Amino acid sequence: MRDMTQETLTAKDYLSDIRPIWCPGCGHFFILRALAQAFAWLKLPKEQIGLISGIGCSSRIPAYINAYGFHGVHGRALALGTGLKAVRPDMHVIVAGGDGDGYSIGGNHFIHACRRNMDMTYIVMDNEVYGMTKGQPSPTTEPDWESKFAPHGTGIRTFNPLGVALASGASFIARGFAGDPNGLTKLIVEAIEHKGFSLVEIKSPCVTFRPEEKEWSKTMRKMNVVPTDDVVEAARKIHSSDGLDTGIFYQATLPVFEPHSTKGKTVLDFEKEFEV
Amino acid sequence: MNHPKENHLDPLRVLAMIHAMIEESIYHTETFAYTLNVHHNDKAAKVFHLICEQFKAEQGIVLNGTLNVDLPTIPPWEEPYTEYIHPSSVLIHANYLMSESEAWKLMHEMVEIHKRFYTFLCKENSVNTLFSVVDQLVNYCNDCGEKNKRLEAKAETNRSKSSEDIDIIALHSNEGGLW
Amino acid sequence: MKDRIITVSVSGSGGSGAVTIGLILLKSIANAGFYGYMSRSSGPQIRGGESSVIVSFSDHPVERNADCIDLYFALDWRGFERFSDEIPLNSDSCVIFDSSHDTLPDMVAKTGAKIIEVDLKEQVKQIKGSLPNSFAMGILAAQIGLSLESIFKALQQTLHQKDEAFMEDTFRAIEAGYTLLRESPSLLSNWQPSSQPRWNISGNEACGLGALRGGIQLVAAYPITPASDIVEYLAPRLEKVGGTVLIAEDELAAMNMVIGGSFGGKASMTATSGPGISLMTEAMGLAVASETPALVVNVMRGGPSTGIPTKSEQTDLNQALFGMHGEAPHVVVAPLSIADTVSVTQWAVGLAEAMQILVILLSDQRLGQSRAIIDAVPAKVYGLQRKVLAEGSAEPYERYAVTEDSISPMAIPGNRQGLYTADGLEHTATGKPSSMASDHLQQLRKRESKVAQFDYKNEWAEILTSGKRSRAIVLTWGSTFGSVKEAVMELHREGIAVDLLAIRLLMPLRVDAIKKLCEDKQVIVVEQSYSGQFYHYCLGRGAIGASSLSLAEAGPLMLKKSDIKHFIKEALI
Repeated sequence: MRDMTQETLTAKDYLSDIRPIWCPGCGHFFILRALAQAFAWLKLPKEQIGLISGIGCSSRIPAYINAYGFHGVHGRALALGTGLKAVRPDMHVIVAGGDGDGYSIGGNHFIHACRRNMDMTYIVMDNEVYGMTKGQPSPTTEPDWESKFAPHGTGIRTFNPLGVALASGASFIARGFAGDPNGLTKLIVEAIEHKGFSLVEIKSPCVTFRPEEKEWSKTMRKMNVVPTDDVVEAARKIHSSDGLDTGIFYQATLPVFEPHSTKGKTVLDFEKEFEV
Repeated sequence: MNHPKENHLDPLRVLAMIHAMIEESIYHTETFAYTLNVHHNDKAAKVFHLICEQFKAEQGIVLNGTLNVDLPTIPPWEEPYTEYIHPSSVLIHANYLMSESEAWKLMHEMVEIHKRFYTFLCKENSVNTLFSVVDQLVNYCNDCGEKNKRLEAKAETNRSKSSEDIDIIALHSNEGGLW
Repeated sequence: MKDRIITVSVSGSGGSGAVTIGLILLKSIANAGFYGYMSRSSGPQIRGGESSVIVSFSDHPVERNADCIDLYFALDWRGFERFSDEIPLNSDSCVIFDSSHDTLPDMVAKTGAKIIEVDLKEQVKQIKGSLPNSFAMGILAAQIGLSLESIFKALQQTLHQKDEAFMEDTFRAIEAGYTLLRESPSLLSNWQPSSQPRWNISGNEACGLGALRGGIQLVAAYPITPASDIVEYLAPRLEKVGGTVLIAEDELAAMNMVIGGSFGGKASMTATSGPGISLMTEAMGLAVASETPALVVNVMRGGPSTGIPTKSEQTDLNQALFGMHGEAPHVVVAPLSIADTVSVTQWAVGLAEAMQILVILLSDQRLGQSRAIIDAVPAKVYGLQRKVLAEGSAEPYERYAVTEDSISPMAIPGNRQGLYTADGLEHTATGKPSSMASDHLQQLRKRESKVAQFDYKNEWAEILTSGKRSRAIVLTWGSTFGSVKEAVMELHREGIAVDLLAIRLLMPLRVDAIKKLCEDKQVIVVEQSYSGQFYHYCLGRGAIGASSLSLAEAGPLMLKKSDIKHFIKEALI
């Protein structure tokens, strides 16, 4: 996929003039940089990238990348990206967003995007909290995390995005960590190179509302997972992981949904069908 | 992770890695200085900005020392040696309320990552040809270190704001604030 | 049988073949050189429920069913009470029914209609392999005066997949039915067959064809009654002209897929009904804010909530006009007939593309699921195209630049010079998010002004004048037009001068033009809603005066021509 005929661009070329206003320390900064690094390594023409997002801190990312972007409504980025990919298979469609956007309000689209297995990459910047609205529990928040919104914790078990993705038919499933920029860049590169729907779920600390997540820099294991194309083996790995392992859990060649449009008929041909 | 054999370091690859590392540091200190400013923490921002300028000077040394050579493109995930830490990884401990002194502490750690890489290279016999560039970098870091130490000593240790001040961000940002 | 219109209805419980008779009848009428209009109604059952068709036909185009049924064939009376109000019978009607298993219901006897009993069971016994509805078909054809030849041809066109033995038996049964009753004089004797090229098309097919003509390249949709037919028409065809149909997981996805496809540079649309629109509304606002062209077709059904999914009403007007949060200027159009649906859909695609805006097209179940024999609708040239950023442009690109016509060139992904991020957040001219009052005002003005100053040409309405100085003008929109038009034309024939203004462009409302047309006239607003949504809209916008009258009736029953006529006459006293 790395096109050697393309001019050499550096990560800097893929970053726009608009600077992020994320909180200092936020994991999203490192993901943004890793994304730009991955684009540069793959030499993707900027005009061939469609970076689609929903709403949330992380969903601001298209404004920070020098490419075609769409900052849409909450939870629907995958649907918007699907529409783009369907009519423009030549585009590299990258969808990005947070855990609330992707796993809660956008949960249905997440399942069906995995099912469709279209050739696109989904980057989830998971900080286990709604940061933009100031600290409400998300689907990946532990049930006993106390907040103003849920004073006794949610009491609801956490969502397992990797498990859901596997069950739904995604063909590339990985977990990364914002605090490991090098490993993350490699994951993103491989996800984009993968033919099919690739999920890169990235643990990204919210230093403001979940300062305890800074501990992830000590506890997360860097790229320790060995990829498999066996769905049962992948399920075992995903469900036995304590959530701190990173790497590709599953990568397989599965049928990719591509619209089979052809040319050769004209509207006049169809008008004839109505003639009496 | 790909680690090239440490005792067979190709000088150009090493310089490319130094270049890449400094680029990362420049980007992140610049970006964090900006966001600290946006969060009205000008004192911490100033420290990030100052260190960013020093990183830019380090990059100047590398560029000067490699004027007539094409540096190879190194995969962005390649790490120069086993104990290498990405300079941005310390920034996870930044905070919009951080004191000037805390900012210095973080920046100090970041500079140390650079220094550790340079020191590692100095120990390697195979990199003689680069020695002058690396030597210059070490010297520059040491010079800055002295200066930074004096500034750090004078830095304020108190945090000026409480977490309630976060509302200010929304009100003062022209980019739409909260969604 | 005044006005040379004959209206025939057939009903029966599931599997009795009532709808098949209707379809074949319509085709026979077409084969004989005439025009027709067929509406259908079915019970809530998915399969096997009672269903009815009403076919009105004439030697001139018909756009609605007549108020009363001339000839009604009941294959059985099961579930008839649920239809009875949709099959208006009177003493002029003729009712034929299968007496082999049912007796005549009192409610039918009371209408005073002429009753003919036939024993279809007995007939079926005579010809092995035959079905009761074939005899019914023959009986109806004979009563109307349609030739056996036109029926056989229609049957071949309809049942081409069935085996030869079956066809043979069916032909024999129809023939037997044809001669079963005493010979009656043909009702068609003084009719003039048309030599015009004609189409047999449903409203939903018309919408699909209009979309194809408009250059739609992506349809993303979720199944819903009564809009799914549009997608089912387009699915096998769009892909053969380079386009795509995406099956969305829900309407939220469908609308966002449309925006994604349109962002990618391809004209995109979705088709749904009221409940789907409710789910799409948030993303519809995104199309407005991000200035992404999008066409949303709403085939309206009875509401609120799940309402009456299989039947018609014009009650999503308020939703189409005002459904979005914030101030979201957009375009709302509505076709007036099946034929009009072809052109209005083509126009709607063009408007969305040219104005980089959300266009909502309001059809309804009556318009969408009725089928008619109409004159072929020639493709129109609207000259409406998306303004795109040229390749190689040297200027720094501003996606939302304020221009003279308030429409800024849109960069299509792939164009190196046009990198930008579309945004639902308020933004500056470059697309950068901004909450500043000045940016908000600039972009609000831009979005409002492109709608306000666009030239909608003469397409905005259909105007029918009496040629004389009219004392009254009737305002209407959508499928109600059919009944209103006939009422007004009848009044003209009676020497009563009344104008008719049927509005296609519901938003932005051409207030000044409407005011001018209504000047010094009694205004009567006719619509199919309980609360008078259209009336209140026109009144609220100052298009009509306070003395205007409202004739608003809830669905699903079609407004009767006679009631409209009566209302207008009363207003003129």
